Amino acid sequence: MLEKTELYNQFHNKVQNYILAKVKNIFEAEDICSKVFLRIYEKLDSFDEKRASLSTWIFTIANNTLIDYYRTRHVQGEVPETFATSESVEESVCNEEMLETLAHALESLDMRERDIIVFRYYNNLSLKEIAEKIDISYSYVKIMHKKALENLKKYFENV
Amino acid sequence: MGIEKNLKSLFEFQKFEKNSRLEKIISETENRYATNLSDSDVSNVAAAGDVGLTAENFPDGKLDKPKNDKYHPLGNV
Repeated sequence: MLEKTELYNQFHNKVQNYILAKVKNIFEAEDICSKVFLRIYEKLDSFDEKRASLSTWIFTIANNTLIDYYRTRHVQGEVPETFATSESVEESVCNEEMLETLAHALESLDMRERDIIVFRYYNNLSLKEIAEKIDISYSYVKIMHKKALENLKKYFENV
Repeated sequence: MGIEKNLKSLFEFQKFEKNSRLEKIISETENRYATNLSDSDVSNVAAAGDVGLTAENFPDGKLDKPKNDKYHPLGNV
């Protein structure tokens, strides 16, 4: 059985920093973080390490709490695109092993392809914004983006 | 699930998990296209001065929580 104090000490900063990066307000971040840990404690008995790692499970709870926050309290009432979909741990591809695989997959790409993927899916830039940033034409970015996705797809199919 | 959705999910998880290998790749990409600050940008940054975001404002010297209600991330406003 997981100890609540140990869990809090291990994950509090991680959860709070993640939320703070989203809501950009320390007081709201603290409030949401408290709600995340309340949910964690409520659901702790149902945590099954065979279904997901502890980190994946807590990340899912943090994201779902953020979605609730955006739906009920955010000024614009919009859920950011990056976490607009509520996923269960069973649906999630997110685990530490997959991050390591993604790193390997990105290393297998050409530098420009890798940069486009990072800017598109980590920094959430549009292809037009990426074209301006890396100073190449929009049509060429579209071609490289498509090629990079195909290469990544092949990589993930073969692991 | 499509490759694009998987990538979005994984990069989002990276913001939480901070895998060191992936962090290095992301930093390298961001640094490759980092905009150089002009002289006027640098002087504007210097003019902004100390906005009070120091470890002393936080309990235990950690930059993660304000010590009291007077704290504001933009200093005395």
